[in-house]
Amino acid sequence: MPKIVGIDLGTTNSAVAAVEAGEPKILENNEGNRTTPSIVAISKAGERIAGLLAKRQAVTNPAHTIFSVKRLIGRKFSDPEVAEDKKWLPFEVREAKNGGVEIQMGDQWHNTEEISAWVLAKVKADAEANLGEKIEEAVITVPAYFDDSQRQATKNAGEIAGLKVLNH
Amino acid sequence: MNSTEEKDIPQNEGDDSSLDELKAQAQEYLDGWKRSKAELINFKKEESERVSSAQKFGQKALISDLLTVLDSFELALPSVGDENAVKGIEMIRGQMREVLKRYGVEVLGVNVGDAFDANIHESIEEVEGGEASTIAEVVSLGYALHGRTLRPARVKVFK
Repeated sequence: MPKIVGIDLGTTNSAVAAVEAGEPKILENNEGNRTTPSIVAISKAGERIAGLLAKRQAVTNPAHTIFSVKRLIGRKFSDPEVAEDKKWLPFEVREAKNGGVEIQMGDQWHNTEEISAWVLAKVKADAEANLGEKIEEAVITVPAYFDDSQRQATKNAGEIAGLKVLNH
Repeated sequence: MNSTEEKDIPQNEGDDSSLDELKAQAQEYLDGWKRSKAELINFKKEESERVSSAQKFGQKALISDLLTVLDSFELALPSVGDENAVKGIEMIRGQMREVLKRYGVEVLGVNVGDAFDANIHESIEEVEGGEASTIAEVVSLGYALHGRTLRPARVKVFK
């Protein structure tokens, strides 16, 4: 039976755990760390990178390095929180056709779910390498204060990353 | 007697069903035992991988801290005027690199003009005057531990 992992999808860092011999255990990522920065980027060479590698080039590629997307996910562009965040975020943010938030990365615009999905895809791939098996299902954490839209958007992000997201 | 026979029939039926129950239970226990045995074999294998990884990477924190001492040697060298002192510091630096090498630490090769690579470099500033996305200046050296980047080289990158 394939393993089900638990993913703590954080604003700054994310972590993945799996149950081994009845106990949950945090899995190390490809860089040998127990947490992965929740950052994605299109590098200047046009490559899509995530996690620590995206963080390493953030200073010199601020417009196309996306972080703190959890602050925006599932929110309407008209949300005062979004307006507040837009003031300090170094990347471009605009209103999507559905009233949500879109972020520019490289020469394309992506919704917040897609961006979160890239972080999830990175932690999923690293967890698969660590466990030596495919991961199909996951539980993804959300803060208690997340409303239905934010919860649904997080779930959608998991599905874009190729995970069946379980409700617990 | 009639009353006894009447009692016997349901009792026999009860025996059959409890035999089935016991068989099912025995199968469940057998499955559980097989699963536990398989889990134990996997656990032993993973544990031995973990032990070997812990041996290789267990001193990561200590080695990372020692790298700051190596950084100080790099910083000291250009500002020391006396030739003998420079030689002495270079020898101590070499000795320390050798010690760390025995524990799997290698200096990551980085040169001005190399293309920026987030696997081994960390950009700390953008500067004008050269080919975009190439290294303009190496601020501190990077190191790898058993082939995995322990600390990337901190570099300035051309805009």
